[in-house]
Amino acid sequence: MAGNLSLDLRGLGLLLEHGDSLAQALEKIGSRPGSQAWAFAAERVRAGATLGEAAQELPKFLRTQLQIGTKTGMAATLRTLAGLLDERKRRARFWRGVYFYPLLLWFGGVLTGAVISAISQAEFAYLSLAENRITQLTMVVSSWYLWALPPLLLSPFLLAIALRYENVRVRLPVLGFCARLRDSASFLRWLGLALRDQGPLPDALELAANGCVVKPLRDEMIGLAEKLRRGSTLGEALALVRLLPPLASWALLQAERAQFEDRQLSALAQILEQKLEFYMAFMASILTVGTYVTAAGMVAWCAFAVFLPLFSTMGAL
Amino acid sequence: MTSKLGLVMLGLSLFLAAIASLLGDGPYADGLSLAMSAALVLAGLLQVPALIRFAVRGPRLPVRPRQRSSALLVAPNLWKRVNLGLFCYVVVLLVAGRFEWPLVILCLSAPLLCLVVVHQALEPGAISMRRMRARQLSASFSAGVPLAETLEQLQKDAMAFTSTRFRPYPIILSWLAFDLRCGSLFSVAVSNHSFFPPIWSTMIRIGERTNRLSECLSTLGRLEAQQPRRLHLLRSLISLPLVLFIDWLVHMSTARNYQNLEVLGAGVGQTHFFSRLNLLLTVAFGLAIFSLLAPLLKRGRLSRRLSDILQKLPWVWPLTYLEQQLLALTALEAAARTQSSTEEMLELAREACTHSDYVDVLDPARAAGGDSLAKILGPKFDEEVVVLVAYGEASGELAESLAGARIFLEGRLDEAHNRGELSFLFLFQLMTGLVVLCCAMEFLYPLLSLNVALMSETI
Repeated sequence: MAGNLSLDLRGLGLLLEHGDSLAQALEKIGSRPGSQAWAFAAERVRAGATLGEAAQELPKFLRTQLQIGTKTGMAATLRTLAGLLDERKRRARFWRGVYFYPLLLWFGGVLTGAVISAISQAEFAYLSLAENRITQLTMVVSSWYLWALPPLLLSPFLLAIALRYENVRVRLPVLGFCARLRDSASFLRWLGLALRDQGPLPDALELAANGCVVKPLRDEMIGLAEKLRRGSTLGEALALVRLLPPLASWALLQAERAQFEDRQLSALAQILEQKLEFYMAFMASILTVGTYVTAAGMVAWCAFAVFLPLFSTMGAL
Repeated sequence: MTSKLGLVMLGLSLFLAAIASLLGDGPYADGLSLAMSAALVLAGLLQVPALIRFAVRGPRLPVRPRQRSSALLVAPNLWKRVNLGLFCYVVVLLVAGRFEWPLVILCLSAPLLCLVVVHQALEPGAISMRRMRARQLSASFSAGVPLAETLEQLQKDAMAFTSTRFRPYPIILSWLAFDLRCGSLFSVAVSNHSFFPPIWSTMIRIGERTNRLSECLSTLGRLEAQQPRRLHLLRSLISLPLVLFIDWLVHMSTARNYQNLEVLGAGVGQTHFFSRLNLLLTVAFGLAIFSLLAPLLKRGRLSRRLSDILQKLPWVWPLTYLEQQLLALTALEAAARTQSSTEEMLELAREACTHSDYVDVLDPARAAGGDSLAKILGPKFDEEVVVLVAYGEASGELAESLAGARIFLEGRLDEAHNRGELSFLFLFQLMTGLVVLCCAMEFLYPLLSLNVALMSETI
C-alpha cells in the first residue's frame, strides 16, 4: 500500500459506487502492481473484518478514519479520505521544500562562523593582550560564540524530537496551531459525512473525532460529545474546549445554526483550510527570511572577526 | 504624540549632522556632533511608549465614525513611521560617517535595521491577505453566514494572532463590518478603503447585482493569487541589504583606517579603483532590483508614465505582457459568467489592467460601436487567446472559452516566471560575488602592498 495510496482509495470508492462488493473491489485494486497488500485485506474482509480492521498495513490514523465509513457509507468516506491524503502529501512536500535549504544554510553558516571564531581566537590573541579594545571585544564575542555552538547546532534536532511527541507538538506556537487547524478542518468535513444519516449530534461528533490525527484534539472532541450527551448546549461545551482554534469553534456554532448541513460544513471547513494555507505561508516566510538573516549575520560576523582586529592594527600603525 | 516628537528630533539630528559634516574638524563640529548624538538618543527614547502601546494593544482602532476622515482611509500603519524613522537614522549615520562613533552605533543598530527588512518580507503581505479574505468570504457567503458576522469573527481572529496583530488588517475588517452593520452595500464599503484595488468594488458590485457574490469573491481570490510571484523573489533577495550594508561598512572603515597608508602610497590606486567599481556595481544592482519590483510593489502608486516605462523594460515586459493579459481575461471571464454585456465586461477588464497599452485597447466604446470582443483584443493579446475568444463568441460559450484561454495563459506565465527567476537569481549571485570581491580587494590591496614593502625593506 506504499504506492499511490490516495489513487487506490479513490479507485476503491469508484468500484464500490459502481456496485462491487468490498472484497471484490479490494481484489481488483490488489491486482495492480505495487498494491498487492489490498489483496490480503480482501481475504480478511471475506473472513468478516471491516475495512478499517482489514487494512493492517495502513497507518493507524487512516484505519481509525476508515472506521467512520462503516457507519456513514464507505464510498463517500474513501473519497474524502483520498482528498485529505492528497492535501497531506502536498503539505508534506511543501514543508520538505521549506525546511531543506534553510537547514543547509543554518548548518553551513553556524559552522563557518565557528571556524572563523576559532581562527580569530588563535591568531589575534596577541593583539588582544596589547590592550587593543576592538580586538578584545572580538575575542570576547568569539569565545561566547564557541560556547553557544553546541546549542545552535543541536536546536534543529531538539525541535525534530519535540515534534515527535503529540502532546508537545500540539502546544507549540505556530506548528501546533497548524496541526490543530488542519485537524479542525478535516473534523468539520467528517462531521458533514457523519451527519448524513440524521443520527444524534453527540454520536456524529464522536464518529467525526476519529478524523482528527492529533490524539489530544481527538480526546477533546470525544469529551465534547460526552458533554452534549449530559445535556450541555454546544456553545457551553465549546467554551470548555481548549485545543480547538477559536475560528473552528465559531464555525461549529454557525453550522449548528444551519442544522449542520453537509454543504455548509464543507464551506466552513474551507475557511479553516484557507487560514491553514495562510499560516503555512507565514511559517515558510519566517523560516526563509530568518535563515537568510542568520546566514548573512554569520557572514557579517566572519567579516568582523577578521576585519576589526586588522583595521584597528592598521589604524594604530 | 511622543512618537511624532521623536520623528521631529530625528529630523533635527539629521540637520545637525549635515551642518557638522559641512563644518569639518574643529570644536564647533565636535559640539554639533555631541548635540546630534543626544538628539538621536532622545528620538529613540521618545518612540518607546508608542512601541510598548503597539506591542500590548495592537494598532489603535478609530471607533467613532467622525474620526474616519479621508486621511484615515489608509489604515494607520506604525511600520511606515518606523521605516521613515530608521531611514532618517541611517542617513544621519551616513552623513556623520566621518566621526569616530558611528561604526559602533551601526554595529549595534544592525538588528534594528534587519527587523524592519524582515518585517516587510514576512507573510502576510497585502496581496496574500486579500487573497485569503476573498476566499474565506466566498466560502462563508456560500455557507449562508451573514457577511458582517464573518468579518467581525475574522477581525477577532486577526487580532488574536501575532502575524496579523501588528498589521492594518484587523482595522480594515472592523471598518468593513461597521459599514455593513450601518446598512452600506459591501461594494461601497470596500470602495472606501485604499487597501482594496478598484477591481474589488467593481467585481463585488457585479456580484451583488447578479446575486453571484460568492463566485465573484472566489474570482477575486484567483486574481490576487496571480500577483505574488515577484514577492517570493524579493524574499530570496533578503540578504541583499545586509550584503550591501557590510560592503558599505568595510568601504567606510577602509577609507578611515588606511588614511595613513596613503602617505606611504601603498596600493592606493588599486583601492580607489575597486572602491569606485564597488559603488558602481551597488548602484547598478539597486536600480535593477528597483526596476523589477517597483511595477509590482508600487502598483497604482507610481505615476502612470513612470509605471509604463518601468513595465516596458526588456527584463520586465515578458512578465508584464502576460500578467496584463491574464488580469484582463480573469476579469472578462468573471463578467461573462454573470451574463454582463460586452461593454460591462470591457469596463471591468480595464479596471483590472495597470498598463496603459492594455487599458487603451479595452475600450468599451468600440464594443458599443459593434466590434466583437475578439477584434477588440486582437492587437495586444496572444493569437491563441484571440482565436479562443472568437470561437467562444461564435459558439455562444464565451465564458468557457475565456476560462480555457486563462488556463493557457496561466501555464505560459508560470513558465515565464520560472525562466525569469532562474536567470535573475543567477545574475543576483554573480553581482553579489562581484560586490564581495570588490569589497575584499579594496581591503586587501593596501595590506598586500604594505606587506611587500615591509618584506623588501627587511630583505
